[in-house]
Amino acid sequence: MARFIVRRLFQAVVVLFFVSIFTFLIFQVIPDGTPALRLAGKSATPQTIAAVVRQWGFNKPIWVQYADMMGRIFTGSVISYSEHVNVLSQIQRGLPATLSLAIGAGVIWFVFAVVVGAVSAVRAGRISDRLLALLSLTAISTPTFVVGALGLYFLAWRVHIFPLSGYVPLSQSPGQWFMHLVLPWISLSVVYIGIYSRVLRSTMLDNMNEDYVRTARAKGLSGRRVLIRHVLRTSLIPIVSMWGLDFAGVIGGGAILVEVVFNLNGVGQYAAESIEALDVPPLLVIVMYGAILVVLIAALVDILYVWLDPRVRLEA
Amino acid sequence: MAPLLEVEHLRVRFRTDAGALQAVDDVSFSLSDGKVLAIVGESGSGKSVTALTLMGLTRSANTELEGAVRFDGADLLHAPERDLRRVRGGGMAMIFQNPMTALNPVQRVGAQIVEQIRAHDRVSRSEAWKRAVTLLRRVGITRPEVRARAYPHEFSGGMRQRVMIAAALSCSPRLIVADEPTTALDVTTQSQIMDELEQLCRESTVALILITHDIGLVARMADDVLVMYGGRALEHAPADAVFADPLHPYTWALLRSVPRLDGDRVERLPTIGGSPPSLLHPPSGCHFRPRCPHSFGRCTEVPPLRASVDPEADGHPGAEPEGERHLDRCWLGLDDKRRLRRLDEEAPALVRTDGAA
Amino acid sequence: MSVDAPPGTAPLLEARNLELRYPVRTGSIRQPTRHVRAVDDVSLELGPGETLGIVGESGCGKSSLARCLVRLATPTAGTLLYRGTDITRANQRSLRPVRREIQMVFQDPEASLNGRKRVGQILATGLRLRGVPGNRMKAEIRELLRLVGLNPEHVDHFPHEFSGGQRQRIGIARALSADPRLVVLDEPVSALDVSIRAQVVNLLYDLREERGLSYVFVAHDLAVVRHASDRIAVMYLGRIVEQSPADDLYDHPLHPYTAALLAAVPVPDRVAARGRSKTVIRGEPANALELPSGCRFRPRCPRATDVCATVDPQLVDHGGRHLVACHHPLDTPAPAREAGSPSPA
Repeated sequence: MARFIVRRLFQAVVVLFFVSIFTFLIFQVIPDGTPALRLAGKSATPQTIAAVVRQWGFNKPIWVQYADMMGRIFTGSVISYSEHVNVLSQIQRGLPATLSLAIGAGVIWFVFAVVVGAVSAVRAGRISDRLLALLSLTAISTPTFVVGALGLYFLAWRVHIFPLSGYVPLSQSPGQWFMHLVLPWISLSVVYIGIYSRVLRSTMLDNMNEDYVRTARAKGLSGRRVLIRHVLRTSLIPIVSMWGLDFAGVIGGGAILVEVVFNLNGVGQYAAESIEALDVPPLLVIVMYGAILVVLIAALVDILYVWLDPRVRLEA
Repeated sequence: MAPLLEVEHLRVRFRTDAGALQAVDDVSFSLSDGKVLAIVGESGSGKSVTALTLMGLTRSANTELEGAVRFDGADLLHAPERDLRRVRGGGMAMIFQNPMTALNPVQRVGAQIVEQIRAHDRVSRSEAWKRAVTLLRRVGITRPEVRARAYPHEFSGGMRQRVMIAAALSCSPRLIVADEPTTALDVTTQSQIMDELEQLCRESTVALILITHDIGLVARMADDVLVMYGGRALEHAPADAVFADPLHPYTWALLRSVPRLDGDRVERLPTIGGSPPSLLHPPSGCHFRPRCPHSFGRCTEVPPLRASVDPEADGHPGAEPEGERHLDRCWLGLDDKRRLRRLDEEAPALVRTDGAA
Repeated sequence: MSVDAPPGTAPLLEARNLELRYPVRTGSIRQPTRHVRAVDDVSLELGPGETLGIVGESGCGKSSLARCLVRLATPTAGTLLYRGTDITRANQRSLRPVRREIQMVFQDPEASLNGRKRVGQILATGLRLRGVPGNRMKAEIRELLRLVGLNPEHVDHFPHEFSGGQRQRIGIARALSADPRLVVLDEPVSALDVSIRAQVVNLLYDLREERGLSYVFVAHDLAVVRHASDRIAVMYLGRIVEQSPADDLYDHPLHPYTAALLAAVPVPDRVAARGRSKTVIRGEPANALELPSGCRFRPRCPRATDVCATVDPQLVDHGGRHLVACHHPLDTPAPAREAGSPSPA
């Protein structure tokens, strides 16, 4: 087990290294990205530009620039081009909103997906199953921003149930925090509920035909216990690992659209604004931090998987 | 004394997309405490469906069940699920064919036994765990306190089947239904496991239904034999009678087609030509007719399962007429059967040789 | 040690001290990766038209050996000669002509036939391999189907439309389509029903007679290989412990393990079944990672003495090509089971 964890974490570091190089290079080659021009302003003289180049180190070899940038990313001292502010403090400002959104949505989509998936598996072939299948497919094929926009229009604009947009910190007013987040949570969760419930349904149907489920019934266990302890327990294993990855993905950038639609002022929205301004440093930082998070959670999920499924241990 | 288990005219029919499938067709037998009944047949003979139906495990919206299954006097076939659950794993336990897949891979083996104990007896978790450890020791697992905490994949096939046996014994059953319990195991392990199972059943006078295609196992363990084919019982008699005087052409062909260690080495084995019938489109009349070298005009009618041997005349001393009768389902007369069987044994050429399997 | 071929026939396939090892990770950082010898110092040979049965419990290495013999696995040591050519480590390209001549039939026809291909397509691959022209293809396929006792009209069916026995016939036809000299059969009838088993064994026998094939017949069931094999090798934990002409092995087994295997086969006879002494050996094979010292069978052996714990017995010919690796073979009196008892020659 220890060997497995060490190996897995080492892999994560290697992956991060390649991600960092890749992201760094992408922002080197994007058109109109020459940062000195942008930093120096619209009517800069060649002298100013040269000064900026020297000051920011754009004349150094590219690997030195890379090392500098990575160093700054990990010490949290990256400065943005457009507003000359510390990127980290900007991210920290947006983090509560993003985390509230991601964690809440993650819990919602997991719980609902398990319920919907389990119900359709138990009712397989009946009307309720078909209805849920239809709903799931609709959910999967509706883009997140459409769900968000529809929710805003009907539940916030036409009927004033929820506020139109914005984010209220939890510490300021838990009630308002909740009300402001309901629509974003739903918009973000809908797709995942659709996908996960479908996956869970088919995994459960497969597992229901397993010999050990028949054994469990032959032992005289109640139908519900067989379903929960034997069918659901094993069927959740793939779902849990999917969830880990998707959750990390949402924090690492997957929530951008929802944050923008609902004006939550989270990290995602900050990323979106930086893209618009072609402001490279915040993007680099957000992508790197996002990548670290995704890779770390992926490693954690693998470790969790081994814990959930004892069979994996031997092959580890 | 009433027998422990009575099965009367059991019929199981599955509705499938391709049409109705008569998996079990009019099967009757009974079993007393401590006796061993072997149900013999190939795949599709209905032997496993019969076993699962006894446990109420074939119930579904697409299954039609007819007849009666009485266990300890109470009808199980149409009993409510709750009553059935009390019997399952309690009075009547089951051991399945493939110990590799029959245990939950993500649950400790001890916990799987504990679960069964607590489904039937009101005991604490630690009490049940102690019982599970004792059971594991009884079925020959060394260091059971430690091994109970292991997962199924950490056991060998033979050890896993021992775990299954321990679970089956956990609630002091009066009947164990073993569906091909050793088919997936090696020969040496197989004979150890069957020795132990036989021993355990005898110790506590547990009756055993042994579902198998292994004639050797039947010869060794059975008191009574039921030969199934295409969902029907073709022969039903005490084991001694089946081996000494098999009356149905299928039974004697089956006995002969088993490769043997004794006797001369032959290059070509005696076979039964053709393949088992489709249950969706069974042949008319006797199901064995298309593969039977001795079929004649009347075989297109379904023969009844009847006694063609008078137990008194055939000299089974002290035979109870009901339990000891030698029944078979064939239109041939008794003398014809015996004559044709001898001919088959002497001249293998008379056995219809391989058609397409 | 290798076996001398009977005069006049050069061996078709010869294995000398073959070994197949694979690494097993133990999951701990401190312990080094260990190796399991699935096949350990195995020597055997097979003449043209001969059938060699290989028998043993699961995990004894018989399937690994079979995979080495058809070079689906590359032996980690030893030599494998096919018609005198060393193919032990031959690469895929130089193996190609040999691949056609050595075919394999697997235990589970359901898993080994491509379910998305029609029977005709499955068989065409092998035919193309041996250069059958396109216009002869159809006729050849029909001929193959007839040969294995299937209806040639079913050429366009998919494998799942056949019964288990028929699928195994397709597996055999697929092997034959390449016109092999040697077919390695890995538990070809274990998955089949009793009444079908005999049919397939007979089919294999007829095909061997008609086409002069050689077989390596791997099975866990001594009763099945008995009728099909000329010679039989018994494997235990990667080693061959006894090898002999078939009749001799069944009539006079020399290794206690062989005797135990024979005793464990249920006899389809009421009197014999009841009269037999039951289980002869107990326990299960040792963990292949932690082999016992000396003879591998020692912990389960009723005849084991001190010498068995220290000296690993070698295969020795007891006359008539009957080889056994045992310090106390059954043609010697049972050893006194005291410490330090002498080992008979």
